[in-house]
Amino acid sequence: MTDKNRQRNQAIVQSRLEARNKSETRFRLFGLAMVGVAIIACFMLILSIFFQSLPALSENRLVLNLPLDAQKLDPKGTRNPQDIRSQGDFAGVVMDNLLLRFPNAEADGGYDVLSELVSTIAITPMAKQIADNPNLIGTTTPFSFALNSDLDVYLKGGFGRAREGQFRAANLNVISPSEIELQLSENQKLVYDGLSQASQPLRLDGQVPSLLLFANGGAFKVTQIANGRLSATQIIPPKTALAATNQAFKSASIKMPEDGRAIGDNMIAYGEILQAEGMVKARPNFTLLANADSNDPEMAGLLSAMVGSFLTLCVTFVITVPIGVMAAVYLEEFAPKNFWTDMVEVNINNLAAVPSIVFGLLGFSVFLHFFQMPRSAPLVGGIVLALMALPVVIIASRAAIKAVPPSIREAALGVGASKVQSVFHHVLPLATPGIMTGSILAMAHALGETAPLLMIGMVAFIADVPQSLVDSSTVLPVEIFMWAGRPERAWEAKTSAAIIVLLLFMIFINIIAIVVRRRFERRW
Amino acid sequence: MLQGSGVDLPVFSQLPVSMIAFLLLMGMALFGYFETLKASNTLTRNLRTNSVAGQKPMRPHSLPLYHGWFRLLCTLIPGFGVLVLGASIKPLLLERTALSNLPAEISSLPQDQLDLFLLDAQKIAFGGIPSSDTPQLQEIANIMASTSGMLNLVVAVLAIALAAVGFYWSKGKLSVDFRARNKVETAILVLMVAAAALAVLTTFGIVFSLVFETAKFFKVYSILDFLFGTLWSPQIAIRADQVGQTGSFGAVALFLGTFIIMLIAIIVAVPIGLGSAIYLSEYATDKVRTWVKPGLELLAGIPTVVYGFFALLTVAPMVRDIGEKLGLTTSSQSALAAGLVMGIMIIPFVSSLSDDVINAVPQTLRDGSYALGATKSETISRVILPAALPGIVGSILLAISRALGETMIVAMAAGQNANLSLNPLDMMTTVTVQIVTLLTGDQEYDSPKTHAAFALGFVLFTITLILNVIALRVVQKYREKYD
Amino acid sequence: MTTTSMQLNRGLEEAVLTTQLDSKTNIQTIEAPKVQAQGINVFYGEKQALFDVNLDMPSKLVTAFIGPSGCGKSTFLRCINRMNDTIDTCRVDGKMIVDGTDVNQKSIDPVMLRASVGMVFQKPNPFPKSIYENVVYGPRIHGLAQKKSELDNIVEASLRKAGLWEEVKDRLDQPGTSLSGGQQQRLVIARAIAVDPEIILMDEPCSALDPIATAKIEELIDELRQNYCIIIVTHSMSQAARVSQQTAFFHMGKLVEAGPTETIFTNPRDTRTQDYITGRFG
Repeated sequence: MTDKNRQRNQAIVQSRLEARNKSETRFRLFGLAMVGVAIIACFMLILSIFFQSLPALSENRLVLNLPLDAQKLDPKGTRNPQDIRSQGDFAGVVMDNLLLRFPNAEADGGYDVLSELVSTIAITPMAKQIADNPNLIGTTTPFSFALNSDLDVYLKGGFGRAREGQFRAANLNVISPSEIELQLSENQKLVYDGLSQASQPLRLDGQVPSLLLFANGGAFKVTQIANGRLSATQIIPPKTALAATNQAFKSASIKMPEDGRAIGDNMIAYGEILQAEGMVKARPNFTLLANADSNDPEMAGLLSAMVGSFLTLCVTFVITVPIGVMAAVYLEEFAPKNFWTDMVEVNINNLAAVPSIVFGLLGFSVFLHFFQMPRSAPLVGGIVLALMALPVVIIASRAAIKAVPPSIREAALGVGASKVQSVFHHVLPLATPGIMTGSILAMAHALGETAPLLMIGMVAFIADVPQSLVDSSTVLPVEIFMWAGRPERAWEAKTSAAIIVLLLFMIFINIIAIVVRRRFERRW
Repeated sequence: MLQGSGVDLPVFSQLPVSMIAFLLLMGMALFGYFETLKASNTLTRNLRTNSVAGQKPMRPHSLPLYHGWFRLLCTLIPGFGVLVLGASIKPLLLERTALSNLPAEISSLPQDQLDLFLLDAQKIAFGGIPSSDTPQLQEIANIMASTSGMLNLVVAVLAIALAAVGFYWSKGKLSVDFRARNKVETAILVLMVAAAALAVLTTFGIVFSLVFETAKFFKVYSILDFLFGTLWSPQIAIRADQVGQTGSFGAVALFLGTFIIMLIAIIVAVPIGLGSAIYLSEYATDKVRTWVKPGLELLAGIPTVVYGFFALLTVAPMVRDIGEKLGLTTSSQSALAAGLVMGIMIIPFVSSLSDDVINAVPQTLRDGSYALGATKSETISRVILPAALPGIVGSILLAISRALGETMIVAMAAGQNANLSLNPLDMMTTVTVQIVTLLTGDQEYDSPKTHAAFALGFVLFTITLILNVIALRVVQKYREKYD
Repeated sequence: MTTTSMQLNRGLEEAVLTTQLDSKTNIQTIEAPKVQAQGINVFYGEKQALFDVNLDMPSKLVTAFIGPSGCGKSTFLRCINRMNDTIDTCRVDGKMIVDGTDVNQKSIDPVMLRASVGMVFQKPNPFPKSIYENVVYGPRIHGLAQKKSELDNIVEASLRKAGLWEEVKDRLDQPGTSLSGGQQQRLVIARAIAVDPEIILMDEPCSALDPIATAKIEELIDELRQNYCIIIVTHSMSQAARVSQQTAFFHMGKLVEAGPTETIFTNPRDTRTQDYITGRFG
């Protein structure tokens, strides 16, 4: 009877086997897919930031060979650096030089565009250089300036940068000094992004992609296209008159309509010509590491934030590590096991999971208000982060101390050492690698912490590198937060690059932790 | 000289006088340390040379080092004690002095204006930008500055005097029998207890500051309106002298936004985190595990501001584009984008804790199931997961608490508008975002806006604390079960 | 070729032994061996744990594996239901013939195999579920019974066979882990019986139990022998002597000697067996 039963059972098991194996496979694939999603998310995060940061690696600079006119730069003639900095008309010198190339700009409204090419802040390095070396005045010296960030973004391919084309015009009429009309030659192709959506004739207002034409050093903006006939207004007059027939043009089609972008067609026309004539050159960009924060993206850097982060972390480290280690030693080695120490333990574990912003509130009310400590100071930031990191360091240190085998303690006590001596002479040195690893990782975490620092005012605009623990300053992650909220397009790449810098610091700290663990850790 | 001692804040305004006192203290302590060290060494040597031949020489109870440390501590503790005590009661004394010297027309002002007056006086006295400047303010400021200077001097002198007492008293303590080591060890122990107490103190600090400020808020704003009101518009300008006209602080939209974003995050994180944990602990080969696990933990190490940027610049536009393709109206910032990214952020919290928990299930249970002819997936879903359930629930609770308290992602990608909406494609705001918004502007400390931030913080702290306590207990109980 | 014939010869030799044994123990039927191991080699990574083991295990008998710890007896036991598959580094060579089929073939699904080969482990491992759910776990996953009444019958029958019914019939919904160690082990046996296997493997089933619980389990093993082929690993020689009819002695990964229990204990051929039995090592 059992044998019959067994046969029946075997048949049932057999019949269900395939379905069960299929569901097994499904289950496994689900798990694999989840791992895949997690990894893809991780890669997407890092790669998207990496690619967004690429434009910030280089910068376009306006290179000018400037005759340094004494009349303009040092009107008093004292050659005193103070006077030069306050009296010198540096922007005027730059503008004069640009007007040599674009003599009509003053008349045709290009002056405003030219004055925006280089911001006041971007001129200050030149001012400083001349003020420091007054004998440069009177010479002709090459200078380079960070270009307007929107133009810089455009030249790096932002705002749907131009698709370039070439064509010849069959005939060309100059209708007025500022307007031309031309007919495309047979079998010449016009490269223009707006063609497909065009109903003929197409008016090129600010709502459709722009088309710019360049010839003989001049620039034109197409206003209407009808059956191969283009009407265009002049932005920059050509150096020599255009030929009536067979004139060669270069064209640039900018996909993003003018109304939708921060940079106008006129600025683009100037930028393209300056670049074509070699006055705008791309260079590797070091402003990010060399400069402090600035409102102009082309001049902004992380120096002040990096120093701020460093000072803040120093305070955090100095407070957290000794206190954390002492607390851990007490709780692990000396504390009696009773209700109160249990409560302390529960308290520490919970403190480690309290949202960071609550620590910010603590800092705001206790340190800023009650103790009247200065806002935005690395000292206060460091203390707040220290309170946050404290439970983490305590937990890590306790684990490290616990890992030291009791035989070591017994050996020390056995030769007559006191409890304190056995701990400080034997246990603690052996636990040091573990404690250091935990502390370093806690520092890495503190380095990336943002929210509590916003509460204590480290979110201020800081253009100076902080000199002391009570100076106003900001830190890397907060700087990233602020940059991410600024409107100009150039901040995107800047912020991504700043994130890469932050991540590199974190990787560096983590590598230190790994090295400490690998080199010094002992397994019992 | 008294005037000159005022720098920008009470603690630092002591700098010159206190600095001298500090240096003097250190000098005394170090001198005492080396003096006693030398004396103790001499004592030991004398005992050895004077000992009777053939007999073991007598030794002092403690090593010279400990005698030195004892003297050092005897000097420093009273000195620093007085300095710290002085610094901490000084603001109180200053306020007393100022209050007692106020002209009648000022002291009869309502409390909040009085506070403002005192704050301004303080700013004039110790540096800072006051909101107004009157002769009365100047007068009180002068009184405060001179009192402060006087106090500094008194404290410094008292500190040095007490330190000197300790210095001379401990000098006489050096003897063969004196148990300096035990005393020093007790001091070390006290120091360690203090360090451990700091963690507790932090919690008290959090609780007190939250409760205190929240109470102030509920004095001017009804707690019911706060918890159940639907209109959140703190933007209405509130001057300190217009207490009656407050903004509207109905936080329901905030709670709803926080909840929805948390829900999206959990919906993303739990399947991915749990699925990965199961795959990695039950299916993956060692090689895969050694590479993928640190990769997942890498996600936990990335600063939240980076996630925020990712949400703002990559995910939010993606969500908007997809929404537009589907014909849905989507804002450039949306709860969905913030929730998705937050979900990615908490994957490692779910996965690594679940992984621990799953690994804690004893191998014998797996063997028992396999031996009955169960497949791996049957074993996992019918034996391992039920066995690990408490631990997994604990890890999800911790992840929820994490998601509720997360600030940067939502601050950057979820928007600021308090929208009472259930549509995840809308902009939403959360408790944490509003705390940041309320506290990052430049406003007076004592305004309902500031206090409202603390009320929100109090709610957040309470909820996350409850979640954490439950989760930690559950996980701990679970660990004990299989240990 | 030659090895195969040698193995065959050896198999025959042991079949003879079995016959003698059966005549002694008054078992009516002489069945073909239920489980035949032919040239089993097991490797953990580089390390070889078992060397060319050949052994027949007949039905309706208890076969005991004895030997010092680390000798490979548990490893060999786990070859029979392919539990070694669950260890990544483990590799098994050779033929394990169960009911005339080599179960080490790729085409054999271990799930299928394990449905007819039950196993009981050293430490009682009831699932953290109710007693009832523990017992119906096997029938449920294999789909042997759908209806509640069928499942109820299986639970009662299995628990009765395991001698646990009377003790737990009123508290079937309590967690299996609430039972005492001996009860847990019998619950685990009931769980294995519930899928009606032909062979039950026991890996030191009493080593975590007290003497009274051990006695109960041994009694149970003796009863179960009527219907199952039982193979038990034990570190206790007296237990082997009490419960088994055939004994195999393993040493350093090799099968040293196998035969009727009486012969092994009274008249071992190999000196190593003698030394072990007399307590010189192990």
